[in-house]
Amino acid sequence: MNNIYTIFRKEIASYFNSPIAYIFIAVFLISSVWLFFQNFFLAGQASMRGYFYFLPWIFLFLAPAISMRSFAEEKRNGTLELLLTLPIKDWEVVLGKFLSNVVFVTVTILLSISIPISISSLGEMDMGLIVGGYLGAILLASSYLALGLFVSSFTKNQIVAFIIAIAGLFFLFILGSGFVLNVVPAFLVPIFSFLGLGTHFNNIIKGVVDTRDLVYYFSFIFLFLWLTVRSIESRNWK
Amino acid sequence: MNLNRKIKNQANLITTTLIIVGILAVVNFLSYQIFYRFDLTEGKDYSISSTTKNSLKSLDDVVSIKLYFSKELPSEYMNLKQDIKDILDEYKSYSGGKIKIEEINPGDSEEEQQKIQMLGIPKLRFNVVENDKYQTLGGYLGMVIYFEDKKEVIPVVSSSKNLEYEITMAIKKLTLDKIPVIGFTVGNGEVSLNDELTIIGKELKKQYGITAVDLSDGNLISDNIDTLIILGPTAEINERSKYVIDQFLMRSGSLLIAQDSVVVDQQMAVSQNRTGLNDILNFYGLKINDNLILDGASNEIVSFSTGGFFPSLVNYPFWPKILKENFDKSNPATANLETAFFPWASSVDVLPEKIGDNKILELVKTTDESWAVSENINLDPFQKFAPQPMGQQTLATSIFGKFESFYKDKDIPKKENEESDSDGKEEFVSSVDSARITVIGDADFVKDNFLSRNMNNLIFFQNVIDSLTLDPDLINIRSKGVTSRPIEEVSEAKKMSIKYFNIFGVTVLVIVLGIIKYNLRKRRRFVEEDEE
Repeated sequence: MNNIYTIFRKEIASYFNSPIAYIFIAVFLISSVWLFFQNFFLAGQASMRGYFYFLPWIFLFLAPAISMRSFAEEKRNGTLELLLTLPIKDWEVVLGKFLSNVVFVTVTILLSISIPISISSLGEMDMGLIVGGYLGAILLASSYLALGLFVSSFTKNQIVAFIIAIAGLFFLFILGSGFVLNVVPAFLVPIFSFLGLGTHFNNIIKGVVDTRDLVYYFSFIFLFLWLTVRSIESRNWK
Repeated sequence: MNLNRKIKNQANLITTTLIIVGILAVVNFLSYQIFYRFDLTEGKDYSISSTTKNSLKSLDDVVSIKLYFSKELPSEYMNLKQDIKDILDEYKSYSGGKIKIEEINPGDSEEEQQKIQMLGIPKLRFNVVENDKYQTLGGYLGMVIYFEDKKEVIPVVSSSKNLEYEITMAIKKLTLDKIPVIGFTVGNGEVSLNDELTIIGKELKKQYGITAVDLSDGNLISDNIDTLIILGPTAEINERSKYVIDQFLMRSGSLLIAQDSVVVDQQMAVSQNRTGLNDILNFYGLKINDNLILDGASNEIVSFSTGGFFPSLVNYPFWPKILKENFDKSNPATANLETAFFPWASSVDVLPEKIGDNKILELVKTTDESWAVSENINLDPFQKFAPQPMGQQTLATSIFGKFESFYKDKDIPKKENEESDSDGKEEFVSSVDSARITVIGDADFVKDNFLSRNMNNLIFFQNVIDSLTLDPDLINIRSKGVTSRPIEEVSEAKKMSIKYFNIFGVTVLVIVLGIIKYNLRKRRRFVEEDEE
């Protein structure tokens, strides 16, 4: 536990001590909030539906940008070997890095809290929907990060990690959406719509926290973290 | 050796990965068998209401629900299918095994399809894109609910918004102990059930017992009548009859009054119609105005003879046409309605000071380009109408809740032939905790000749009667997810300030914090270097 915390602290510090965190937060907030306010006053509804609608697409680029450096950078600098020779288990490294990514993204998402605060001064909001929306956003972002971490673990090149992660996430996100489901054979439709990251997200932002969706997200995160650990381990095979 | 080990390792990794994926697949599969949903929405939009739970608890025999959903449906219906199944799962889990659900995939065989269509479930046509072309796909989205040897059909489930209301009402109808009875009053110039209401009569008889109620004998109305309908009275209603109506309401009866304040006859002659019903209605909190409502934006196109060979078609503002968005969306009885029209209708007002905590449902409204005329009414369809928009007008309103008797602290009108007041058999009821009144400012819209123009009026009327006659708790089932949460009107400047504060405010704050932190670190480094 201590080891995980040490890694976690080191990673978090490395974000906030470099301009990366601030650029990231600025890009995220300005783009997501700007998109949201495009038609907020037009719709005239005290709801953040539009905000959560755009989030998966913004994360699609921003989550890989966070996760890409996790291992790729260490590999490139040669610090990974050093890190792994310390008396720390591989899974502790992976978990520490993953948690630091998740906490960083969560902080970023929660900085948009000014939106619900200003909306609630204009009209009555359904708080359940807001809570559901943020919960869904954090779960979705965590899943994105888990996959991004995995991709980052087998390349030295951050750009490669970034692009492969975007491609993979894009594929998994649209798997359950209309334009894919329309063209696959009927018997595959339920499977595809289950596998799609977006299907489960839409459920939670409706305000329904369903154990089925939670199990899906935790399975997804677990699977990719597990694969990341195995991928790190494989260095010993050479 | 080394290579061998690598291959072995890889094989191992693949096997364990497959095992992990397999375990996760099983865990997810099991999670679909046992799951729990936390409904965070304020209105509990995705949970079934206590009304439904109570009626499920009181089931004493199995209700079986058959879903006729085609397997191949456009993807936008995939989510709907899941929503519907989730709702039905809730039914199942609260029914103590009394609800059985069966999913039937309608096959391709002609015979099967015919069977489904015989049940009253239509084949729908969907547009789908396949091989870069638009193609039409046929499919079914219907539901049949069986109880004993009876059945109720929900032909098309196009959204889950009103599904709970529809299913619960169907279950209520199927499991009623006795068939509810509807009484139509006669003797005050009402529209005759045998002449002008044959279509309505036929439809209502499928569900309800129907009987005529003569108010003129002055007797109180029998307890076995659930809903009393006073449809289009044209004669003045005497004091004793009003007392009978009042007492019917006080005994928890449901009352529907549809009345023209301005009557238009066959020759298009206009006459005021004062039945005196407004006296008691005003006391309950409702008022039918002495006017006719014209709608300049949405009205029926009517053909009128001009004396020539061909009748001319004109937009006739005196026949307001109600569009989908002007039915009360929060009320499941009207939320699904498409359209209706009300020829020569009067507006219905609510008198707020009389209402108290009662529930008001403004069922039908005209568009905001409507106006009212009450004097020198000119019905000529070819005139140049001079609109004086007054905003939306309400044509039908329901009030559910507590009522006091109009005759409390007043002299009770006696029967005509009654000699003395020694006859103590009648018991006066002075108030009621739960009763229902619906008032419609028009009686023409359900007459046969108008219904034949537009059968949607029939659906409106049936829904109104269902909501008056069946379990009053049904009204507590809200339409799901349609709550409008409007924001208040603010000035352009405030809009801008909210917008830009949100876009840049927090960002600037974070960046400022970052710069401060950076400077602090730099200074600390200097200090550290100095110390060295």
